Amino acid sequence: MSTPIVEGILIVASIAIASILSGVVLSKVYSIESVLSQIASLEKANAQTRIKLVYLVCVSSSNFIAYVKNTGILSVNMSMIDVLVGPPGSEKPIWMLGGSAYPITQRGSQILMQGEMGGINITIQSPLDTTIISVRLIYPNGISEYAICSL
Amino acid sequence: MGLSNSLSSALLMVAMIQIFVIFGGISVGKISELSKEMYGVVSIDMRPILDRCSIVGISINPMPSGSIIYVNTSNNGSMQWWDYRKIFVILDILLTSGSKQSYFASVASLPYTIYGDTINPGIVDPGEILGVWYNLQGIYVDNISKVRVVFSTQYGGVCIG
Repeated sequence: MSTPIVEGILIVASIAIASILSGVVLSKVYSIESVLSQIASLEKANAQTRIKLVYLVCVSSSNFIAYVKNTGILSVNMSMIDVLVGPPGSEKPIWMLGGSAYPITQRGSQILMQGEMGGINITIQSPLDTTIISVRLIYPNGISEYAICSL
Repeated sequence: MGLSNSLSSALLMVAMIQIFVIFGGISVGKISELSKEMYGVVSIDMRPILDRCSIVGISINPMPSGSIIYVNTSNNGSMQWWDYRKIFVILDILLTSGSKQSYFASVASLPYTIYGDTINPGIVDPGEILGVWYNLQGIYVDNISKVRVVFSTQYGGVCIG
């Protein structure tokens, strides 16, 4: 075979291999970028979610109302907030106490819009044997906050 | 041969500069986006510190059908005006019977007035006082043992009186 033909074949082969390799690398880079974008958007949502436990009312030893306010940028579903109740330092999830938590806003919704305040009405089955009660809330972004009230 | 070598070197250099410019541009864009978002997060955290209030007066007046609680709150933060839909009043009432009652409402749903309303008329600016009254139907002054009022500003400031 003559030299120019061999050179031509080699050039075509090298271009083909380079194209395949660059295609593989580019697709991997895009998939990594997509995963990183998903992680970044999740972290961004977590960073932009801010909820503040404004006040806690001990109505009785088995009924409490926690008032929370959405001070962040995103709206928050209050049913996603975990509630723990008990003496300070020994709070337990309300499901362990046979209790329930009903979140409500003034609009009658469970979704806290930006700047809105809502109340979480917490009821437990058996009254707590303490006069100082702590309610801890764990927000959807993993941050927790507590407040103490006395009877 | 010398000319073709020079040309290929020049082309390679141009290609490298192009790649450098593209990657540099992407990096700068990403850094600027990130810093903008970081600033947003920091400003969210600064809001409750800057948006402050203090309850300057509470009074309870009897009514034929119950009672009215008047609450005067001063906007003494350095943030801007308050949005009535985003500021809330919580009442924690202990009755003489020993039972407790609690209510909350946004200021937009209550009757209100502004004292010293000189900066922007109709808006509670820093330095002005917001007067809100809460009508309690069926709860008479004689039956009230203790009242606690909690005022929540729009960016997370809280004051208790």
